[in-house]
Amino acid sequence: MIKVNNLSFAYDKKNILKDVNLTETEPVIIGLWGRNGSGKTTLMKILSGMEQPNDGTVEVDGIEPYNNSDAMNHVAFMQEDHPYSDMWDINDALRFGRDFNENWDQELADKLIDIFQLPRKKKIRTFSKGMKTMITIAIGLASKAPLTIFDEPSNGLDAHMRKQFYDVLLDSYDEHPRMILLSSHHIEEVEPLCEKIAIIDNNTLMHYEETDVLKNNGVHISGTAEAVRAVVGSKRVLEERKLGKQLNIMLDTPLTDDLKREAEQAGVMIEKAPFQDYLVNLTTKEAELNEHA
Amino acid sequence: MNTLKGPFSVVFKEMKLTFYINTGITIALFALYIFLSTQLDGNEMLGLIFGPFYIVFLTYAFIFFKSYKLILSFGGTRKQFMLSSFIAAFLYITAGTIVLTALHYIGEVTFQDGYVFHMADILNDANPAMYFWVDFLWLFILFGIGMFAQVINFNLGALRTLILAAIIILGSVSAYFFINLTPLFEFIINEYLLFLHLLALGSLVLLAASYFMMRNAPLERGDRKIFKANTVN
Repeated sequence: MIKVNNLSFAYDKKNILKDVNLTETEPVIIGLWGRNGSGKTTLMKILSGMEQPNDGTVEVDGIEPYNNSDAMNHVAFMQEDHPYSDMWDINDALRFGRDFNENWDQELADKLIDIFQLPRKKKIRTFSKGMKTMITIAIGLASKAPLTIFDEPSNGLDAHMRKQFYDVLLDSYDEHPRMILLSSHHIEEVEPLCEKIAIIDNNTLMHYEETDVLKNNGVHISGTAEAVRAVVGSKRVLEERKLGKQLNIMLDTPLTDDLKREAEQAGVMIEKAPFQDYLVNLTTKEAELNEHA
Repeated sequence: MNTLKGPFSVVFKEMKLTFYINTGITIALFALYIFLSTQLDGNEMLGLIFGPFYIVFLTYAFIFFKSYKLILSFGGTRKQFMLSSFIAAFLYITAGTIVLTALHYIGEVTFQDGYVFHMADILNDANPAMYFWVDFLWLFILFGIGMFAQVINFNLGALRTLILAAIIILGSVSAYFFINLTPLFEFIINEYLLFLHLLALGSLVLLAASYFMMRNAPLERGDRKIFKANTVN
């Protein structure tokens, strides 16, 4: 479904993406995480055919998307601030969605507009940020494109809207499994939906793994420096903070029963680190290693 | 599914409102001339009705170019944007020409006194097909010039476009003062139809150049790199 080989892209003398490799053959919901400016949006633009790679190859559903008129039937890329004409209302946007996508599901589109309670006759330019996000979500899901990409899909959504988005996305995916890529710099917003997580940092794809595997990693240990050091041993340290005699450390390891027992015996506090914190520290550490390499 | 349907419908809709407004202005102008014709003594020129259409077709590309982003964001390509623009423009040029020709002939029977100037009057050929063809050619010529200017502006950005425009203006002013242009003006008057067709051919070349510049155009205005730079991490 997606085959990215040694992809590189530079803009204004600067490498945005370098030697990105990614292969996925199954319908799956993937979370794409990276910090601001990490190259997420560029990768999505290249996958959707909006930008041309400088080097390497990209195949989506068996086709090279750049300047390929058939790509519209294979990829739908719904941007964070998806552009709409000042003249369009919901009906116009849905009509164009239908004209651009051969798998278009009008019934689903109408259902989503009703669920999100979007006014059909108001111009989209008058919509709030959340309403614009919802029409973008509706078009993306109704496109039923083999690869559907959402950039920051929960931006502007309140808790209720976000819950609605999760529900409709999972329902639509259950009914019609396809590859859905959800990009966010807040992993907690998309992680509950994703079977796999791709981490992009330092201009390349650093990790592509099952969500459960990645999510289990990251452990906070705090206590006296001596006791903490005894538990840490040779495990990989992602972050270290000293507060007086107290030492707080984040480890790149799963929170296992053995580790909990070990911590209890040493008299130190141990807990699972928030996923977002773990990813931030992981990418920071790997960036440091790359700098020194 | 025809993959041009979506891109075409986006461009067609972007151009539609401007066309309707322009047609409305032209009809209002025509109504004013009908009124003025009742106030005149003698066969004086009342004015011209092609003005709004000619201005709009010269600037049309600047108006509908926002559909470039819309088409790309819905999965279309740059080539589809250009082809859709050409097809939609051809349809609106034809529709605009029909409106202008129809109003011209309605004017001939409704004006009590006076007349409106038509670009085909230079030919002294009252053939209705010629009136239609001359307006069609002018709209096509103006559209081609406007499209090329906007493509340059989009690719190079405002600053580089203005520098280019300044060079062209300086060249034109110099030519006006240092070259004897009388034969050219004589040619335009004596061989007006040939001149028009040459301009239309030039417009066709500009449209072809626009297509080639846009088929790998940048996503954002002014992002075209003329010289490739070495990349750094």
